[in-house]
Amino acid sequence: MNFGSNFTALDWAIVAVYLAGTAVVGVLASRYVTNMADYVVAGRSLKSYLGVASMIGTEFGLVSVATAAQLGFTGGLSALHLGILGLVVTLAVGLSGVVLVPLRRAGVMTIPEFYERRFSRGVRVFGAAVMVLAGVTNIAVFVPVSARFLAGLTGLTDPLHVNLFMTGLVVLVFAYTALGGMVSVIIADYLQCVFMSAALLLVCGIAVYTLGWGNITSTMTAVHGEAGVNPLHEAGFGPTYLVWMAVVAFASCALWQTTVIRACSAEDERTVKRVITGSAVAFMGRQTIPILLGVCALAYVAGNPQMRAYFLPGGGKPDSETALMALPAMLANMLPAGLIGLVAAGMIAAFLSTQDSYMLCWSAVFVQDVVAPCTAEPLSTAARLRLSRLFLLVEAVITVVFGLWYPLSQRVWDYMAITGAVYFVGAASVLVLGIYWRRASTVGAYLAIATGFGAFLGLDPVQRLLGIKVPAEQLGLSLIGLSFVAMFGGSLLFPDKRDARRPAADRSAAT
Amino acid sequence: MNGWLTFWTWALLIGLSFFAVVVITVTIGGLRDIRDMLRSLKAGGNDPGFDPIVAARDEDTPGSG
Repeated sequence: MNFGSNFTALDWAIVAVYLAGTAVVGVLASRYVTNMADYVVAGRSLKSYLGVASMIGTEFGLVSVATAAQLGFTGGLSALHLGILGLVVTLAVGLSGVVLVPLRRAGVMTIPEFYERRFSRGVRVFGAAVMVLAGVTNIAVFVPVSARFLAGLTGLTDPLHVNLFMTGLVVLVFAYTALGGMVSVIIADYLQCVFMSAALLLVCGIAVYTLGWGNITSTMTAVHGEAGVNPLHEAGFGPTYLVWMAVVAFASCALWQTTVIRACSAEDERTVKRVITGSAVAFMGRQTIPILLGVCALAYVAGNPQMRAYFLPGGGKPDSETALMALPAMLANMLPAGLIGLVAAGMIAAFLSTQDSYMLCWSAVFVQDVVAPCTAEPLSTAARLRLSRLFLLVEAVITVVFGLWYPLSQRVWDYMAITGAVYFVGAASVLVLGIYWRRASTVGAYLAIATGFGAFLGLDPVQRLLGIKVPAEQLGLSLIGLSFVAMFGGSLLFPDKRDARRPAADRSAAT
Repeated sequence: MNGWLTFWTWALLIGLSFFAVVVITVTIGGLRDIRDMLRSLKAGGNDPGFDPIVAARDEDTPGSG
């Protein structure tokens, strides 16, 4: 369903200038990359302000905008609990330095590297393989979700044009990430943070001014009732969902490799704390701003008979899949030509900044922690860079192809939480207990990581295939508990023999 | 319900203002950090000539897994 767009040739020109600028950054940054440390962690020369900007750029992607707006549209203002949880949990992690400071102190660049120092090479390879599987499955929806959003915003109606446009964006990400690695990712993230934040804050102001706050809140309460403002209401999110989201917030800022890689890129431990503490605002903003826009979109479509019939059929509850298109439909019709081009460039910036960091992250983990530990001879830096770029290409192909056939039948935010859980369910216990419990053992780590596979049961197509219905939040929380039981049980029943004789490398991280 | 509405209204006002202040701060400070990062990379990073991944691989005890 297309509701038209104010997007004009001027807007396309603005987008083209922005994309050309991003490509130039990638080419220029490649001149500063001389070894794998430059490529993966920018030579560990990241300072606080740039670290926060990069974190905002990475974690505030177009997919975050689309999915959080979907939550705002389908759940009302009560979805804002995600922003508050993101702020509080990230502040707690940043101020305490829990998990991240020990990892930076250990001098590792990836979490699986820590697995090897603390447990064994086998745990490193197994943990890395699970992490890459979860990561690539996680980013696979980025392209289709972003494609729908950008198609709605620009008014592109021909699916071929949409696919070509998105493929072009992925090729651009692949090119500048492969050339300049973390250096170009950080600089591009900085530009994207500035551009995207300005665009989104401006749009919030315009939407609230145009629609009126009273109209927005009265429409929302008419559609959602008490559940639209009370996140504890059982007809809405409910207490179990909130607890699950607190766990997801912790995983996002302390366990997720894209966050950890920035902590490991920081020049010292103090910077780690400052970057994560400063990034608390990013974790709040990436939910708060789009949720507000999603609630605004609800008021906008309710006031337009044609849109109301499509997005709120029979005056009932909004459907998850169609809700994805509500925000772009509002933006495309509310914003004037010129401004909509700036917003589109900001949204494309949001897409690129997340896609580049995630693709680089999973390719680095694949090479460093899956391939390199399995080779008989140490891989040279040149070979690692070549392999990393090859896997980037594989990821680009997977994300485009997977996105074409996977059905988006559940809330995209829940899809991302559950695919992320395939990795972080195990990582939560392996990292936390590996750092803070001396008796954590290799067998315990294997068992804990393996529990993550259970998270695939939370995917809608898998549940339909098996004929089961388990809410994602119940499954996720159960698996987190199971992974700690597995880690404790495995460690107590099968302790490491080397634990007593190999304290130095391990304790460097455990102190 | 009105209590929740008032709460979310203030949470949004404070949150968005805070976000705007942080973005302005990192926009200005980030420019300086980019310059420092590029200088550091040109000079060979924090530890010139040291590639921690290759070094860690070389130092490892084989066959522990």
